[in-house]
Amino acid sequence: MTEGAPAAHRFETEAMPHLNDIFRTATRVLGERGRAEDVVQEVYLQAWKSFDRFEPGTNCRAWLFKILFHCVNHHRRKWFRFPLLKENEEFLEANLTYSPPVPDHLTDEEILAALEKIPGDFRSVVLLVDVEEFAYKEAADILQVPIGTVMSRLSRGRRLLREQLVDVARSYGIARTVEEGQGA
Amino acid sequence: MSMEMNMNEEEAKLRQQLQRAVRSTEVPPYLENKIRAGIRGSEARQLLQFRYSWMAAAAALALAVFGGITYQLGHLRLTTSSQESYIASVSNHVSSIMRVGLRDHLHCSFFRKFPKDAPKLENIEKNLSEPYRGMIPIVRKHVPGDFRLMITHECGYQGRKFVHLALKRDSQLLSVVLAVKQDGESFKTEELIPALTEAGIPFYQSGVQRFQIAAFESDHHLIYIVSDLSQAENMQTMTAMAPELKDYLNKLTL
Repeated sequence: MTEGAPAAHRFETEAMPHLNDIFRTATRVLGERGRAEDVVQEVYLQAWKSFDRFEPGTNCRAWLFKILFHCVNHHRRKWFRFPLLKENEEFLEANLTYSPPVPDHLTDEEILAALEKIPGDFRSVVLLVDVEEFAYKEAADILQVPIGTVMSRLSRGRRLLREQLVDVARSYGIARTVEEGQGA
Repeated sequence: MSMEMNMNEEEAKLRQQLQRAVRSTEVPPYLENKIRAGIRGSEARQLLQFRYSWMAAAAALALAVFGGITYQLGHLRLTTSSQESYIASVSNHVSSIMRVGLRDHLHCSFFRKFPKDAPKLENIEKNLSEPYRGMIPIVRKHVPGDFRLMITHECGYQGRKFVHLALKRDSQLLSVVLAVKQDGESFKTEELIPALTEAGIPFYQSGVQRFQIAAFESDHHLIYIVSDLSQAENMQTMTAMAPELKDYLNKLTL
């Protein structure tokens, strides 16, 4: 793709292929497909309007994710009571005791249900690093937080997710198998 | 070592499960088209906004230029002080003796809102004192035919008294202004060069902006025609009117 190519064609080839990733992350962060659709449309509209500022050859996917989280934060203030980090820390104090093993035989729905129970700040980092496979530095840039914050939120987010998965498994009777397996 | 390996395996397993679960979410098939339509709509809106902003800027500029020009030319002077400043600035462009007639025309005719229809002659001629009333038929006889007499009055401006006959043709104004000479006032003493001399009468002329001034003097009066006519037409009107008017004025007992 050359720099002289018309902007519409460049946008089509560089930005549109990432629609799936953007939509899935938006759905998981916002917890609702309808809101995710609205936000994704807004992301692409904003991206198009500021596409002249995007440098060809740089990471378009990361640029779109950065716009996504900007829009998400804007809408979360409107739609939800934005969860403050202090509340997340309190949540951790109350919930993080140890890092349990991940149960087998969980469905996608059960995993997504567990993911949804994690506070938004931790869920965002888990999604960016573990699902979308961004480097810590990229995730820090997307979320506009220090890299150390990304690392600590990722670590805590993963542990929270395990906790939630064990709870889900226990409710289906799977955890017993895990605990029995550990005890053997 | 074995525990660490177990932890890494656990994390890898969790990550795989998580990726599989998140990626199971399907993008609605219509979303891509909605996004493209939204972008096209925003482009159209931007184009319209761009056009409207340019049109608005052009209109504002045109309005400012038009407003500036009309203000400079004396229109839009709605307050007395702005009218006075206009009279002062315009009359500075002509000699002091020519200002006499020009100022009265500006003060009494130019800023006046005339009625659409001319008043009846019998209603306005009584505004002039008896000696000057005889000027009316002379003036009416010599002005271009379609000028209608709108005002006759004896007025004062900046401490000086005038006899003023104001006529109108569509948007064109014509004033015949008469002032009694003060302290040996004369066009001759002002060292003005006559534009022409006809029937033994020297005529003087000047002009500024849209206003043309033609003047002559009788024994006791300075007489001016100030109008929106061309310089030639204005002078022609004055030369036609002057002999009869001069005779009439010289016969007046002041």
